[in-house]
Amino acid sequence: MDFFPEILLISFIGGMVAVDTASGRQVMISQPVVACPIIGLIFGEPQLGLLLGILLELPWLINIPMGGVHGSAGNLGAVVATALAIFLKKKDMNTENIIVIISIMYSLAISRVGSNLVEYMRKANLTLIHLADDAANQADFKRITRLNMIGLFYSFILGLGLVFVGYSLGILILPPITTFVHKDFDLAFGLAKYGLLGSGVGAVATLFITKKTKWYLIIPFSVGVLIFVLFLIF
Amino acid sequence: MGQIRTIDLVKVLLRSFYIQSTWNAERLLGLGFCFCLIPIARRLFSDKHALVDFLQRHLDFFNSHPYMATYALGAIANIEEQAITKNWEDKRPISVFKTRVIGPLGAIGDTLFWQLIRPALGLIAVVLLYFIGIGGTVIYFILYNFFHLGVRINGLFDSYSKGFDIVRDLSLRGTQKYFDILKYICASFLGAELVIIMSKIVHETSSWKGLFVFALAAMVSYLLVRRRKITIDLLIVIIVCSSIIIGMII
Repeated sequence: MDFFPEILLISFIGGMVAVDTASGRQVMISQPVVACPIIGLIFGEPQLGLLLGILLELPWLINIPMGGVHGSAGNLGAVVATALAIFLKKKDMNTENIIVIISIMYSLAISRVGSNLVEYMRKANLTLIHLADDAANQADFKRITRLNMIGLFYSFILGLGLVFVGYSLGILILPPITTFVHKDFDLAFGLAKYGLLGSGVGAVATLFITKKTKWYLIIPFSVGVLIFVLFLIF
Repeated sequence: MGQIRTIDLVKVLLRSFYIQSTWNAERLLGLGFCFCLIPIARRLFSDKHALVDFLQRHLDFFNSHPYMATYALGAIANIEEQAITKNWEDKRPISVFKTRVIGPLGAIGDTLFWQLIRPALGLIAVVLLYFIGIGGTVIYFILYNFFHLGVRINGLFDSYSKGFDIVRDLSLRGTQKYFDILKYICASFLGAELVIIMSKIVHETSSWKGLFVFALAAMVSYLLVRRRKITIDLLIVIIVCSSIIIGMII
């Protein structure tokens, strides 16, 4: 795929992910386990998409949007990380492990910026609610509908813009960094993948594990380990 | 004035997918809630003055978990219909009802979806992605939306039939025992999945290094997140850097 259509497509996916994350539908196409493999399939690197989905799904799950709290825009970061990892792999910049970890680290900055932008967007939504008051006074249904859809559009533009800028900058910044890391570090970066997976599992465990439920984790885990060890022995 | 029809409720259901579009700090889901009820307003009111009252009433402050909002939407449709057929002069009970359901709808939805169903299915999806690839994504998507759409659809039609009485079903105390059972199930899933992931790591790396890093990262993350001492992006930076350093040493 050419560079320009590619960047447009990935930005469009970013817009869709931003909408699904917090503004509309919320059918979870924005979750990394869905978005990353789809991006991988579209750009011809399904295995890389799956790997990014596995690594990035769990850590962000503990960012619970309770009340009005909004954590980092991890889903948008996951889109950028996947697209950049695919770009770097296709250009054969380094080993897969090094590419994946560098892309993920870069995407954290994008997530942080995205989080700040969401706050600005919510402030912009205040204008819409005041305009809706006027529309209600005139019993103007169409205007209220339009104002609500403008909120959705803001969200789409935020995702589209952030991914566009994040991906474009990443294409400029990451190749020299990626080639700078020596290939001998591949094993160490490979271990970082398992560290990341472990951190996700550990973070999610905080949602389920209490004093009351701990035995419900320990018993299946112990039985599983026993079966695994027996399997290894025999 | 007409009676609310099933098609109106279906329109409300479709609009409810966009209830959170204009989330803001002043009235939270206020505009989205009013937007969702427009098909009901179209059906119930022909007098402009009553219509303006209706729209102003529902543009007011409202908050809920987005999926659970259909419980409030259905009940409000019923109550607004009752207000017309029984010729209520005072419409304050409608606003009081809305205020009363905000707490339970938020608490039940956040606990059920954000703290239990989404992370549990996320864990399952990660394991499925490992073993069956893109099929895991499809299974996750179908399973999650089975629960999600089930709650949305059931919420709207059930609460429309019950009206004010839906408040009894939305007690946090009543639902707590089901959440506890779900927590036990999720903890068991986690225990079993830990073994599956660990065996996969051993199989992939053919050494214990990967397993060691995984277990260490899981324990450190559990402790740090549980004590709320860290943001998730900082946690990722620490874990990834430490893993690389450990990888260089061992």
